[in-house]
Amino acid sequence: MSIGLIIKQERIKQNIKQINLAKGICSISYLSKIENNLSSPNRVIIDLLLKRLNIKEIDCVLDEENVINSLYKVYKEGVLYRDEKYIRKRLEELTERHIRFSSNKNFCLFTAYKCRLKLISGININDLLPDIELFQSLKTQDGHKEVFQINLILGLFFYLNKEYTKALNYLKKGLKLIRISNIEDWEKADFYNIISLAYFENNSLSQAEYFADKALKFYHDNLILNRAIDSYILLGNIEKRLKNYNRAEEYFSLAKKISQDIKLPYYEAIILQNVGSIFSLKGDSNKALTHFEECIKLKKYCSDKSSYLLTVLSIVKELSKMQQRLRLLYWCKHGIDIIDNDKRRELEPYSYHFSLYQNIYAETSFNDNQIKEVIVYFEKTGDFRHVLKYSLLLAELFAKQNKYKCSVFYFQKAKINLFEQQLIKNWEDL
Amino acid sequence: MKKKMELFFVATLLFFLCFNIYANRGEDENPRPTEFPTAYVK
Repeated sequence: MSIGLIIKQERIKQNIKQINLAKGICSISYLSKIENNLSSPNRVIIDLLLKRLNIKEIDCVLDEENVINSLYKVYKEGVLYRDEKYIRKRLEELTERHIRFSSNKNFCLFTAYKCRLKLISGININDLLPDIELFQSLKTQDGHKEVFQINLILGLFFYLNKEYTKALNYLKKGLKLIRISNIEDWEKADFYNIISLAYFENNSLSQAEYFADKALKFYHDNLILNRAIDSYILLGNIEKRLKNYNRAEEYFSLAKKISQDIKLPYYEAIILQNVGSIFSLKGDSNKALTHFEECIKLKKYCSDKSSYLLTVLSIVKELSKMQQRLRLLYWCKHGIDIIDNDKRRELEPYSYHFSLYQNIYAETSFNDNQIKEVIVYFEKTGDFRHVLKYSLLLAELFAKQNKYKCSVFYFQKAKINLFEQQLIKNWEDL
Repeated sequence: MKKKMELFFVATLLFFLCFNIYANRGEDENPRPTEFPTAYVK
């Protein structure tokens, strides 16, 4: 029975330790056995545990396959078409119920589908932490489909949390099961899109391209246009990183055509951002800026502020290359004002980026301590690209001031950073 | 002079290492696999 998992899930959700839940009811080791389904629990003990957790009602479902199947249908609609109203309505019906399944397999599938739908409905990802913790702690798993589903959710969670290496590790586990489990083609296409994104962020571009192509083939053959755009944009970005700018532009123009046909400004904005970035890479700052400014106009209406700030940062970078100090300071202030009004953690890196640019473009000489703080921050958050970037900047600024000792220190910091990422231990291995 | 040489050595090494990973990266943006495409409401 899944009653053990329900207790564990609720205990983690309410942040109660095993010792506190078991106190006066049973031993900790017995509670642990119940939670991990290693013991058939005594009814009285279960009732006492549920009472302490304030769970009044648990639905025993007679036809649980039916429950799973109807949720699976909502899940399919949600993943493929993302119909907001439909998902919210169905989620409300499902969220408050504690359903007792006869197997852990069904419980896990039910919880995993719910997690994904919650993510699509715009939940703060940290609200999923109890379920993520539960999934990570599961040791005994039978069957394959639910293990695949759990790895997909864990991979997706860490991807959204920008922990890309961890995300890829879970997704690789899922990939091993994709061939042997009973997984439908649309689920495979969705999985390929997600693993491709994770490979992309880990800079493994050939794998990213391989899986994005597989996802696109399915969406294309089945005329699922909303999802085909996702793949076109991703493939465009992969080609961009490979410096095949013409192919990248072809992908973006295909995506743009679809987004205009189905009237979704969300995608138009993302495409403008990426095309602007191509002009930036080609050295055409004016055209890049035109695209970014056009993009900002669309993103103004977006609830996702990190996407908006990404474009503000792109504008700041372009103005820095053009040495347009006053305009740059205007955009930095604009970015910081937005962050000040919205204290979400995911916006935090941008406040470091903008204050760094404000610092190096200030009228007085730059403040090296501030840049050092920025480097420490990105080291802590594991954003090595920016540790490297700003270490190089600081090293060069020090060199210009003839402070060679400090300069060497930051060049070396950047070097150590690169060695670690490439798993190089000695210079002989280069 | 010694410091300058040291700086030159590290900087050159770094250049070759950097080149493969981060050279000309730009700010890419991919659609999130969880996003509502209707998140933009005019």
